[in-house]
Amino acid sequence: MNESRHLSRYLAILTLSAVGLVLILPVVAVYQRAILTSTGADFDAIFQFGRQAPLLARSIAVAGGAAVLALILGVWVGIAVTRAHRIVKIAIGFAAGMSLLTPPYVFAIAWIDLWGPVGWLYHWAPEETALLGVAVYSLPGAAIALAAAYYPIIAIAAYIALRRVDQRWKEAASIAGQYHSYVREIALPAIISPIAAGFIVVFLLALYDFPVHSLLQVNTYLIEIHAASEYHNYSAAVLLSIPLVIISGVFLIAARTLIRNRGIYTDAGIMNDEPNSFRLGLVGSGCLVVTLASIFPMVVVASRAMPPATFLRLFETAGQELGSSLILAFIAATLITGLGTISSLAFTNARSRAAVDVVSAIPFLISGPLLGLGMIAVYNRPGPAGMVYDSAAILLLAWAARFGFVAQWGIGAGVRGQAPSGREAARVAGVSWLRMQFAVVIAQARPYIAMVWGATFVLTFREIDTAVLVAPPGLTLASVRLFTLMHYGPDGYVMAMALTMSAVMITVGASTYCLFAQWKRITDARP
Amino acid sequence: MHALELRNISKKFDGIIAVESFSLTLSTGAAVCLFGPSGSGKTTLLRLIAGLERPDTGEVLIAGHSVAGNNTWIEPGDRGLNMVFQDLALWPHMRAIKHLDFVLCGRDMSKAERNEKATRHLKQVDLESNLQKYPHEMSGGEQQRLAIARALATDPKLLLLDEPFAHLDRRRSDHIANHIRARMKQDGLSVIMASHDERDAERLGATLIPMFAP
Ligand SMILES: Nc1ncnc2c1ncn2[C@@H]1O[C@H](COP(=O)(O)OP(=O)(O)O)[C@@H](O)[C@H]1O
Ligand SMILES: [Mg+2]
Repeated sequence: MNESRHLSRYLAILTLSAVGLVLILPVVAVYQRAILTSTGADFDAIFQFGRQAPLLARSIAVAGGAAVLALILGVWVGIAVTRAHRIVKIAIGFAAGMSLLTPPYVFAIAWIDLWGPVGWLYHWAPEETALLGVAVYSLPGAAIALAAAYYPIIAIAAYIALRRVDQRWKEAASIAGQYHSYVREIALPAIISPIAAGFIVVFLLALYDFPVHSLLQVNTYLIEIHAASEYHNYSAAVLLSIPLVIISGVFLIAARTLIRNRGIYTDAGIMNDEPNSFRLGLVGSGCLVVTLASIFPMVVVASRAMPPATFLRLFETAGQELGSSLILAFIAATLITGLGTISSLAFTNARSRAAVDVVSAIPFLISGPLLGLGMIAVYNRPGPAGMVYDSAAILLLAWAARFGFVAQWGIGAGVRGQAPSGREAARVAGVSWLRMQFAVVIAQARPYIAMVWGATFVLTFREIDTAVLVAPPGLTLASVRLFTLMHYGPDGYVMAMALTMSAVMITVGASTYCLFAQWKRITDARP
Repeated sequence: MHALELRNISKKFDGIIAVESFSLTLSTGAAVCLFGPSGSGKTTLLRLIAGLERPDTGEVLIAGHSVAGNNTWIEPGDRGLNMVFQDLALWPHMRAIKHLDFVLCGRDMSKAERNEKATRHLKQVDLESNLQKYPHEMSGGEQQRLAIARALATDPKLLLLDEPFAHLDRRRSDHIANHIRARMKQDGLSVIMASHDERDAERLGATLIPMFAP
């Protein structure tokens, strides 16, 4: 028994280490190639301040603009939801969730449609109005599209934070005459930490959103990395990725510090005794924000996609792409979730788990285009590697590398939350290690496993950054096809495709969320 | 032969002494109660016996066989014992009957036999109306009885109880204690329990073993 226990675990660790090596190999390869092929001229070009400064400024401006806007919208909606009636709460939750599941590039195309020369507003506005002055393909446009896609992250964080500030703590503290120190020491940190974390997540997601930067023609680091990758210019691509990695590193460290910092003051409205009219205004304006940010863009897309005949044409001409995308996303999500699950069993030691957590995020942090180039560096060669390169397997590998951290982090968090005594009780009762892992650990982590599966399905189904570089000949993904078509501007066909893909992601996301909520009610119930 | 023998067991955590040079013998069919304040090492001692911790020095013998110390190590599941944890360690995602069915699985029993045995054990602790409930749907006392039924279902020779009556009222405690005593008499079950309440020891007729915070 002792032997089998260790054998299963060592086997799992061994397998995972091998898989991990394969997944991290493109990162190593792209850096190695860059070092081998770089010339002095590359370095000169890259380190020219005149070239770096605007790139840096634009990258940070897009991400920062999106994050600040998302912060305003998110906190607003989050506060409104805490005051809203149950039905309104569910409606806002559904609309915000829909927003989160819709890829940001769909918001970008809605933006283009809205303001562009064939768009609604352009059409209706009197010719001399300032509306015409709006540059469609602009940095603010990108920030707005990204904020519309990601503000629900902050809304959820704010909602959870505000809920966490329990009325009873407050009462206990004010009775003891400690109200101010309560607000300072308990309430505010409890509110600020999750919101700050949400802000940083949105910043990073916006920073790394290649499709939106590309569609709205904001020349950021990602665009340059993508261009360098297309020309197989390893040194340029790698050198351009370094500032990105540094920025994200700084932000991740800042997130940790900020979350621990207990001295920030803000009045986030934790009182529940405001007048009814104020409450009504708050909830009403929250609904308005959700309508404008989440629902309105979808209405724009849907109205352009009509008549229904467009969808028939879409299924006739792009059915194959949609089918391939569905199947590949399904396989990829299952594969990634499976790996994450095994990893959560294998690496039980806190230190090794932390190391795997960090390493698993590296392929994402070097950016999608650079990862694509790394895949090319490793697999674009004769022999077995080439066979992988020419098949759909290259996409599965790329996605597993890019989104593996989602499973590693998500399922790891679920397993970490379990009381260790549950495992010990099984051990003492003589249950075998493997059966205990399945029936106690995995079974208890199943809400997180379901959630991670849904998230990785959505992420791979809509993935463009890497797929556009490594998709094998003869295989077109729906996301890549849509991305290409979107560059020609919004028409009915493009919008029908965007809407159909969004519908798939919303369906999958909503179903897995329901499963998550239902299971979590049981597994996380504390007596 | 002794059901349990501890010879000079010591255990430190990061330099902090939890158990120091502790010795004990427990005869078959008898009960002892580790009795002492919180932090005196009762739980640690039970975990050392169960095999959830390894002793720094000393030896643990169960039914005359060395299970820990002197370069031997027997896994918890192979020591012929079972334990009721202080936090009960119930599985939140399993229904009451599944708790017992799960620990009986892999013991050469048919599904029907397992079901029969699980039901019987739950009945003995008055949980027959809770078979299909999840732990969070049960009261604190019901949960405690489920944890005890789960521990007894594997027919252990040695039962470790960590504060077993903490969530039970007096009548229930007596009832469960009588049930355990019957098992001691019939099956030669030996019991080692930890408690900070002398009455718990009385209920099981257990010899008090005082423990002191080091
Ligand atoms: N896993 C552990 N790591 C570090 N210290 C521990 C651990 N388990 C117990 N201790 C320490 O050992 C001492 C005895 O604890 P414990 O056995 O739980 O006592 P009791 O059950 O009598 O309350 C305490 O000081 C406790 O803090
Ligand atoms: Mg204890």
